[in-house]
Amino acid sequence: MNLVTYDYVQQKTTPISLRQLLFFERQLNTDRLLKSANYVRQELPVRISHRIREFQKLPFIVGTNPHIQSVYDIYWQAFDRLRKVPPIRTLEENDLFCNKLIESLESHMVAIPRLVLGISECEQHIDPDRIDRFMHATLRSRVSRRVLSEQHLALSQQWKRIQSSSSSSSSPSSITSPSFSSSTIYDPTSSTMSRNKASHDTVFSSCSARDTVAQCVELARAHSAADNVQSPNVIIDGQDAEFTFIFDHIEYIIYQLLSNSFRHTIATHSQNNLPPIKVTICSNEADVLFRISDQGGGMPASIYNQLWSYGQRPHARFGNFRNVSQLAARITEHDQVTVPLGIGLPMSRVYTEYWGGDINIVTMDGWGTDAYVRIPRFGTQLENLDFVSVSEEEGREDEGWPMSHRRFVV
Amino acid sequence: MNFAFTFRSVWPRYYIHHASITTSTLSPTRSKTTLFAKRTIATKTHEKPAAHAFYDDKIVTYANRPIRPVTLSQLVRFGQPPLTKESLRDCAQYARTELPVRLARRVRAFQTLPFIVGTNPYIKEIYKLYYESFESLEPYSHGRSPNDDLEYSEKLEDLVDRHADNIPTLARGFLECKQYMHSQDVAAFLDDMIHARIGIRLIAEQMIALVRQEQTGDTNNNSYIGIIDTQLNPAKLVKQCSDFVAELCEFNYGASPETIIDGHTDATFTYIPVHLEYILTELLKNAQRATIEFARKRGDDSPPLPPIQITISHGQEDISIRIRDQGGGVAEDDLNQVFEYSYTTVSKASEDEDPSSIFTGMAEMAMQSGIGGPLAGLGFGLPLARMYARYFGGSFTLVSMNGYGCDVFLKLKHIDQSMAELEI
Repeated sequence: MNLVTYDYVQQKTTPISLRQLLFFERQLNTDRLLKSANYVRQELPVRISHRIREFQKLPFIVGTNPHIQSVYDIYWQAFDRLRKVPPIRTLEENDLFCNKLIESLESHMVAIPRLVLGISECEQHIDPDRIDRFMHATLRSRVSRRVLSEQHLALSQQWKRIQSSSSSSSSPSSITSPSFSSSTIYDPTSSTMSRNKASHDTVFSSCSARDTVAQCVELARAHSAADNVQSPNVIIDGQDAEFTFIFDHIEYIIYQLLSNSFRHTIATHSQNNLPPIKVTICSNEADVLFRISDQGGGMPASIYNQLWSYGQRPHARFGNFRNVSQLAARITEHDQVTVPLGIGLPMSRVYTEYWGGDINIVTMDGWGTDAYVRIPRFGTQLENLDFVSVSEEEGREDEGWPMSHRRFVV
Repeated sequence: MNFAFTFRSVWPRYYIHHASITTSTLSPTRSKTTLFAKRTIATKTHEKPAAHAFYDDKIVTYANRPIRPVTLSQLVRFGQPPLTKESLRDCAQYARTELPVRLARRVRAFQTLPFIVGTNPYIKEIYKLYYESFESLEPYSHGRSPNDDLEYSEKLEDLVDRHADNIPTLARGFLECKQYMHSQDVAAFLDDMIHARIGIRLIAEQMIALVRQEQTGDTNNNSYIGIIDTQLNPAKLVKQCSDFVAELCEFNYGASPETIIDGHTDATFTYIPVHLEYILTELLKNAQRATIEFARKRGDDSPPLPPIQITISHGQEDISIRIRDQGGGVAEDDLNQVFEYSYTTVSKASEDEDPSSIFTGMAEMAMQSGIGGPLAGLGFGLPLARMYARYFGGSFTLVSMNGYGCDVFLKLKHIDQSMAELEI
């Protein structure tokens, strides 16, 4: 059965840019929708097959861990499910395809918790760097597949609405509406933020930096309030800027950083005396930069060195995953998941770097921490899908990928 | 004959000086004057020139000796109160035998530079300086008499003084020789040189300070052990440096941004003040210059210049200092080169296409030779600051928010028992 993957593994992934995704969205018609469907149809199995290959390269003792094994099986099922889809030529076929996508998305919700649990159980059998790279590549690929799937689903749904509104007849019967509006995928109403977007776009053409931060701040304060804890003030300064990004992603990142800052500030100061958190926004032609600066006491070197690592954390942190069976790594989950899971920062990094951004954290032990996020502005960056093979030398680029790892911290 | 003649004309002063050293100050393995004479005729009359005679035996001998590193705790122990004649003697003994070795190595390093680089007047000047220093200290490494310590310490003071401008001079020299040497080789040479220099000065200055302390019976500065201050208050030092730099700034630009210092302003730690002073001065120069130039570029002169914020934090293992400015940041292309020697964003007058502006040259000169030292433009401030920071296990991080400003994080470890085994 593995032979089946060989064809796919040989193929290179075809990364797409935010701009292209947007283009599909703006100029939607049946033809383009089907084009999108076929792109996704062909692309996903290739990407999944690469992941499967990476799983297979893991040391035996890790690969046979029951959690890891179960994720591996899920990947196989998804691969199988998707590779069998024939070319899509009609809207009805697209609907069936969409259902398949939803199925895959839902079944993969358990991936993150299980992977993380599995990794933490196998810690001593594998080199921590290797594990970090594996997890990073896996999560990055996962983000990419979800983006493609969710975007296509959004397009499909948008097209249906356009069609049904232009024609006076009732909605076509081939839509399986209930599963489309499944709240596990995207649910604008469940978020506490008011989004005035009529369509279910997952890609916002322009995010305002200031608004994004303001919304995350509100959310973080709401969560603090729910715990009956006074939250620190947040001062936002700098000049606002607009940039193209996936709103969910940027929201996740900023929220993570803010909530870390909140937590540490609250932990190190008395309730009445909380020093404010300063968020600075700035931009240049190429990027938008966020700086989140807190006085939460900083971190000693021992913690700071492990910040981005998946496998080197104290077991206690990842133990919380046992109680969390599903994770889509979306901000809306924070309503349900309130314990620190220990994966916020690595996940933020996956989201940031996915489109060629950068995230850096510098700390002053005894005083506070500064987090810097750099996001490229115009969405012409292609997806960052490097790490074709984790077992090869780290940092080796796959040919043809314009992977920009521009630094802003030296 | 021609060869010898040209040879002499290329290294004229070296030989002239060399010949003037009397034999009495040197251990008489070979009379120098006869050596000199041999050189001029060597190529003429001997088929196989006595090649080894050209290469100074002594330098090679000393250079080949292993360095005996001193640990920080020893250095401190030399000067731990109560300061006794004995501990002073130990320190002196160590310095006498160790310094010539290190100096010889420096001389050797120069000798391995490409010829064309070595003849650059700036570089040659420093080379000669090291050579002379070696020559003048070397005799003290054999035996001693009790009064020697004071004399030796005076010699050291003189040396330290004459070597004060080494780095700027070297930097100028290498700037001129840019096309003759790979930048990596230059960087390697300078890294070595500077690292060694820090060590040499440390030993020398510690000795000088201890002698002075013992002489004057000076117990006022209880917190000082030689040049190490056990109660260094970074906030105070920051204030001093920023005031000094503000003056330079006013001189050059007519304005200077405000400096705000916050955080653990009362914190103290054990460190070597001159090192920290150097680092802070360099960083503040960058910050202030950037702030003013950025504001002017945006035509934003009238409102008050955005202040520079400095935060000090006393952590478990180290002291952190953060310098935050709104000077526009460093462009991405430049960021990779920011730690390279002789990289500077100050435009050279020679590259300026506008001959009618007589002030560009002056501005550059003013910046490079302002009161108290250059403000900017020689391109070695950051690499040097980073080396000082790292010397005792610290770290230096620069974050550039291009279009806004820079944050520089300096982390310095307390020099205490945990660093006892750190070798200088």
